[in-house]
Amino acid sequence: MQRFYKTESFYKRSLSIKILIIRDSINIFFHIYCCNIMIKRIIIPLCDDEVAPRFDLATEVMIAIISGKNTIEEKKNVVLPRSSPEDLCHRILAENISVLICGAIEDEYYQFLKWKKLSIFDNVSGKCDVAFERYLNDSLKNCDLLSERVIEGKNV
Amino acid sequence: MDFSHPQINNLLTNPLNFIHLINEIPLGVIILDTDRRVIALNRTFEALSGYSTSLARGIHCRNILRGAACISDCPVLKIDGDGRAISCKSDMININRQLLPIQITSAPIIDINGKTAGYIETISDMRTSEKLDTKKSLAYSFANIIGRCEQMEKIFQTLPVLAQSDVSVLITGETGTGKDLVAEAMHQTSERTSGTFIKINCGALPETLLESELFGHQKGAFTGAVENKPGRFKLAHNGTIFLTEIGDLPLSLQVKLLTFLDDKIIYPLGSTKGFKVNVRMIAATHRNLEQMVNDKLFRKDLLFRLNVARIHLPPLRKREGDVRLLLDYFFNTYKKKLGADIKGFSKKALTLLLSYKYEGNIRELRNIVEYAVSIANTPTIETVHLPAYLLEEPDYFKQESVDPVPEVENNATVTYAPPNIEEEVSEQGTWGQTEREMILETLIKTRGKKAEAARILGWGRSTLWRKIKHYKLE
Repeated sequence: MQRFYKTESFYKRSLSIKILIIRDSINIFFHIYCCNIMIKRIIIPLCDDEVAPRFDLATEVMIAIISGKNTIEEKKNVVLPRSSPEDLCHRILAENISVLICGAIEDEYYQFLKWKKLSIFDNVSGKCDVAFERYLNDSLKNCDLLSERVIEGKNV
Repeated sequence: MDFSHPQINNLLTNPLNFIHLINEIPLGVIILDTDRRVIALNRTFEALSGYSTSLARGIHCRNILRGAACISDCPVLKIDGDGRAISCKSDMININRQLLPIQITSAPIIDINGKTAGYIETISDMRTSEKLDTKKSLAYSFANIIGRCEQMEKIFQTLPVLAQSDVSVLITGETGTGKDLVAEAMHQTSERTSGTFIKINCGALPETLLESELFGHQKGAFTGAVENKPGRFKLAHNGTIFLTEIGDLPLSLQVKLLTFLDDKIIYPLGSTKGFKVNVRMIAATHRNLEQMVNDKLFRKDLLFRLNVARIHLPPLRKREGDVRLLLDYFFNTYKKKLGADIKGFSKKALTLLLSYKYEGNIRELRNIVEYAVSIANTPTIETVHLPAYLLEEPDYFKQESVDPVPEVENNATVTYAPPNIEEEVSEQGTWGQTEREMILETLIKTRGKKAEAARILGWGRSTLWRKIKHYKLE
């Protein structure tokens, strides 16, 4: 029977395998960590397909989950049982929302949600999809009036 | 068609400037097309909503007015073909996130062929009338200022006279004495009541922002000036502008304010063209402006121009008999508001409250009563229902210090008690200040971690958040 000797090259090979395993584990761990940390939940109170003019009177919301490089993981519309700013704040916290895009919001709720570390883009009006896309492009600002400007059927 | 310069033809010989016409109406006015998109706004609506005509033009009215009625029951949609106006009560949230009670009146605009060409909406700010409804028939009061001591009676006699005149007024007094209330009352009882009342805290904004906020700016005047901004002075045209904490106004702006007081013309930032505005100015401060003039922190000539008439509000400890009146007033207010079933104060509690020196003046007294009414679970408010600091350290406030605002002799209105420095108490002794310091220390200890700070202080996170907001620690 041939005896197996642990030569110098054997030790070198096993060390490099160990390094590879550790490196891969770090990569996997880092990937999972990044995916979790980069997930953002965005809420937009709706009025038909537009950003609701009033946060406190919205009866429908769009909730989107984006990850990594602004990849949309999930997008859903939720119909609320009634319009209530308190209930909406509660839902925002319960759903771990990190970004709110809305129209008019009373200062009391704005300050509360700010304190809860939400990024808020308020006084926004226009189509929900346009506002959401602008957010993804990093070009959304407070007080953005995104709807078309039309008077008597003509763009102005 | 040029929408930016609308005209009225065939009314007078020459075409009329439509915007100028609606700007003179003391109600918010919105002109809409048949699709309810904004064509024009008047200055009052701009002041009310925070949106300028250039920003709002072509946008659907519900995104500009943002009234509750716009979403649930749009008044414009209820207009019949008979051309009659429709009125409804509602509320709106302006760009500064304030909820304002309003009355909307909508009417169609009929063209020469009898067809509806658009709509006109007028918006009345109902804040004043709502306040008056709840405060009417109050004895010993003027507008919503309460008091029956000699000093206050003098002020009540002077205020209507001053309100009717159009002179600049300087209101002085310690914190919590009601300077803002007096300013608002003067506006409400003056001939400018239909105009706008605009309040600016000179200490709340940095110098550069304050200049643009007060005087406005031209598009392109500085980086980020993408729109023309009218400025608060222009928005307050035909109304009153109230500059609170005038003592905190930077020296460079004091010069600009002085120029305005002289010729009543404002020059927006980056503009060579001035606008003549008709504004009544009321200023207030808790600082000693005379001392600031000596220290070269406040311009002497500005003080003279502001100090045409001065109202000095006495601190509560000098208002004999008013503590009881105010205690009863706030007790009834909070009892009603909180729906508490309490008959009144116990003898012991009342003695304590009457003997306490209110460092924070009426604001502190109001807070104590609100706390007691909220806490009390017996038919009468006992001493245990009062804030603990009233019981624990009765001698705490008996240090002496100088009143920050001196009593000043003035020919126009002298409405103050003679100075009595010995009676003054320390600014540093309030419970509020102690609590503020306590929160600050804990936050430093926890390196800003609010959850940990709340745990150490034994409060809920919401309570800590409320207090941080209250003391403006953020």
